[in-house]
Amino acid sequence: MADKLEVLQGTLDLLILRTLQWGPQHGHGIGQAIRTKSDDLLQLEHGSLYPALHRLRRDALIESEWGMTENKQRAKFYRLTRAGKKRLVAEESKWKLFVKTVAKVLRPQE
Amino acid sequence: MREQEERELEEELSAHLAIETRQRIERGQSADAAETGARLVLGNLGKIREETRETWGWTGMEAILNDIWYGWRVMRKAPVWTSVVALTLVLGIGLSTAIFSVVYGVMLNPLPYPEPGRLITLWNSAPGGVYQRFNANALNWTVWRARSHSFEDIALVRLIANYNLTGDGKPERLQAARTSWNLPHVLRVEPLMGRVFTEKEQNSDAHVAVLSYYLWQRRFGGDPNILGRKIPLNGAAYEVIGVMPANYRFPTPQFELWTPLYLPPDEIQPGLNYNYMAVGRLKTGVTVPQAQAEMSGIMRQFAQEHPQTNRLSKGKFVEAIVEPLLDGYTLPVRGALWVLLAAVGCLLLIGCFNLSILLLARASSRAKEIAVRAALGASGGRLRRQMLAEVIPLSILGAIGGIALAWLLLKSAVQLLPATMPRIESIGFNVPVLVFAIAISLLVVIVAALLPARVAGRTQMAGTMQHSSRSVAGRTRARSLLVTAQVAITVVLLFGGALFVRSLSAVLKVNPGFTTQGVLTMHLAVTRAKHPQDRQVAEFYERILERVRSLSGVVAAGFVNRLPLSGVSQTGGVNIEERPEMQSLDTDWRSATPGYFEAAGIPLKRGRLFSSYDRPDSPLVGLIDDQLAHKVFGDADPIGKRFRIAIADQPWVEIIGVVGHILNDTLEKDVRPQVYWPETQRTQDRAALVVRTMARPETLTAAVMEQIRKEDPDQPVYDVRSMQEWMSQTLSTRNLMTQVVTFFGAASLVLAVLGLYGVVSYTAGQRMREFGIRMALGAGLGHVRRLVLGQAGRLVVCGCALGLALAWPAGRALRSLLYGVTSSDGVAMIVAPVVLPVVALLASLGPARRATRADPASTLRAE
Repeated sequence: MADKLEVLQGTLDLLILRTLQWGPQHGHGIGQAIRTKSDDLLQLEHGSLYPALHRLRRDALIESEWGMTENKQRAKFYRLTRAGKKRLVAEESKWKLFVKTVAKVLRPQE
Repeated sequence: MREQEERELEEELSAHLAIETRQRIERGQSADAAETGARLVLGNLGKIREETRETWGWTGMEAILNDIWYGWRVMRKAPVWTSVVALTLVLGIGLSTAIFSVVYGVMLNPLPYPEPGRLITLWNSAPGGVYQRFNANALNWTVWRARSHSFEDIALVRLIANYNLTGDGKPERLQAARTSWNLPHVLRVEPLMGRVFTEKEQNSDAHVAVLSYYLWQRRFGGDPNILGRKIPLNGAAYEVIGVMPANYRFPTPQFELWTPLYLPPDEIQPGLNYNYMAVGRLKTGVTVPQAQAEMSGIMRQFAQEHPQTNRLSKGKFVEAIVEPLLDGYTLPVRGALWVLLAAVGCLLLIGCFNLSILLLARASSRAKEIAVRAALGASGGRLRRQMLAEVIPLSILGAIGGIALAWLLLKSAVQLLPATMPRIESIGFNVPVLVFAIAISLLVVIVAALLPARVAGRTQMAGTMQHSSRSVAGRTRARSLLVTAQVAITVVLLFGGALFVRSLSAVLKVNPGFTTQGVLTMHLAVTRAKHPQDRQVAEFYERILERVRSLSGVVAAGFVNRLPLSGVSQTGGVNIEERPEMQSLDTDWRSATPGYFEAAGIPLKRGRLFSSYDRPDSPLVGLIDDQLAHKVFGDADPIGKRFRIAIADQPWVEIIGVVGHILNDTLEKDVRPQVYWPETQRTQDRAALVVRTMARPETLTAAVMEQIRKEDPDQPVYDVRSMQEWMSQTLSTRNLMTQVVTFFGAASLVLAVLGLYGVVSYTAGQRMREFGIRMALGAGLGHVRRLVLGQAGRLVVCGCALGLALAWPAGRALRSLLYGVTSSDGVAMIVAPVVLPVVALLASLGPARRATRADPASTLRAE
């Protein structure tokens, strides 16, 4: 457990958008995808997804629709909108720059 | 909408639990354990619901209400801040609403007649001359009616047609108008009872009268059988044929009676008797310029027919002016009202900027909160929306308080308005005024919040999070800008106020040429039916004077046909026998009895005054004033020379004396000189009794009126006032203007200094750390104090410079309202730049002193 990481404030949106890039998914699926992708390193309380999802939906970055899972469970599926796709591209490059910059700062001085 | 969201969230969350549980069961957990586990990893359900709900972003009204509620809560936590801002708003909104209601009532509120926009007045004008605008005469009326096609009809009104009403009750003087028969048709007003008079009745000078609703109620108790009743007017029996509705008060509410306008044939002449108001109604679709063009053509042709009277020098001729009826009413006060509206607008703007500055300060102290909101995903637009919504409670407070203040002001201030102000009856607290108050409060708050909201929207979250208390540079800049603007506006207002104060003091220094102290005046008009001969009228006046002079405390008494500064005059041309080459000289025509000049304090400069030996059958004599004497005779002696009314058959009269010139119309304009005839030789029906008293004039009022009543119990007496009161009435508009503009200047000074104080003390607070370091490095207290005062100084100097630059055009705009000062008056120019820095210095002393208390150790430790 000691190796688990807290999701940084603000990055959750990016993770959600990124996850939805592969197609519509429900809340549970999104959480599971993030955990799997991060090799279970990212610690994510399941419930914390929902406020984020609703906020993204309010900002029209994603949209929702009721659907059925493979196991015939009715669930709300989220999908990227055009604005969401644009935002994803922008946020991704910003994130990369951020990581690069932080890494540069942290690199041992020669 | 919301309930559906709630249901969907519940379903979404239970779906999540279901999927998780199912997965756990598939991984081999027991149903119970799987369900508990699923709940555990989901987290605190209540918190999730709460946080999710917050993102729903409240649709429409709900969102705004929510923000407003939040704003209200924030305000209640900072009561001092809230009261300062609310007071600023109440003051600004209240004053501007009050001023607007006056402007609306006087200038914008339509006249109470159907389709009032089509009603016009027709004036004469002599282009290039002194008389830019004068009344119509009877010939104008007949010609205009016959030749023009722009009007449905044109009516003619003689405004000076007052009657002594006798009979049952106290005798009284009624203000009445003689009108052409078609006036009610032009105005489209129907009588409440009975009928109006006919063209035939007008032409035969029938003794019929139409009463106003108020006269009917006041004098006749609303008698339903009033029609057909004969009432004694000027001693003759007039039959009441109609009563007009309550809202018909033409031309002003003071008029209570209308009689037919009989035009005797000798009244209808070119170039004479410009005694009438002409009111017309434009045909549908005809505009004022179109009517004006037609009238110009008619007047040009008329001038060709009557070159003697209507052609002027340099190819010009007497013109006609077509003007909306409403404009004619508002003309005398329009300039003053615009100035008041502009001044109150400036005040409101300063208040608005103050609100901006205070909002910026609040935004700064809440920078962290805003940054957190931004970090949590609130967009710039959302933050702006919230800031706007949060100040709506303020605007509601401001609107309610402002409306209450305006209502109070209106209730008490309408009585303070000069009695000469037109359309006072139309001023009130009506729907347009209410709409204005609400709109202006919303506008002010929105304008005030826009800048802070923009700054908030720009907030850099990382920067703010790092520097816990430092503000963003833009905010200080915005605030400095606002304060500079406030100072500039204040300079303009103070400058305007100073111009008005200087004008008033110049007017107060004017010598009217007569005394205003210890003089009692009252008016009477003789009933000619009782005294048909001029000689009888003159004798009646003499008997009254004898009685009045016998009263103890009376120093002198006399009659004159028109009292100075009472708002009426009688003017006309005179010729001088010795100077036939001089054209007719425009003068005040006065008839006076012996004793008038002593009573009014008009000095005799040469020769003698009228005496009781000047009788109707004795040689004809007259007096001229020293202005006319100088103009005509220079230094030569005018005694023994002769003058006459500038009409061929009028008799010449010998000048027996020269008296001091007086200002008859206003203190501010010296219009024309005076000539006097003895009342016995040029008898007038209307006269003002002027009584010089030893004690306060008011103490003799009852005794003097009692003497008149004893002489003739049926003689009405009206307009009983001391000369001092007449004087105050002439000054009332200027007095009020000066007070109001000066008050606005002072109020804006207070508000601007408040804003300056806010900015200086805030910036000083921000720089405490810097001051601490400076002092740690050896800077003295004086150095730090100078830093703070320097900032205030820069703002004030910039503001003053900008203000002075604006003062010049502002002064020019005020020019027509000034007296005795130029629009770029030096004294007025330096008032604001002297007053403001002093007050500003005082305002910044506090922050400066606090700054010097910066303790190097503690500020650095706080870092």
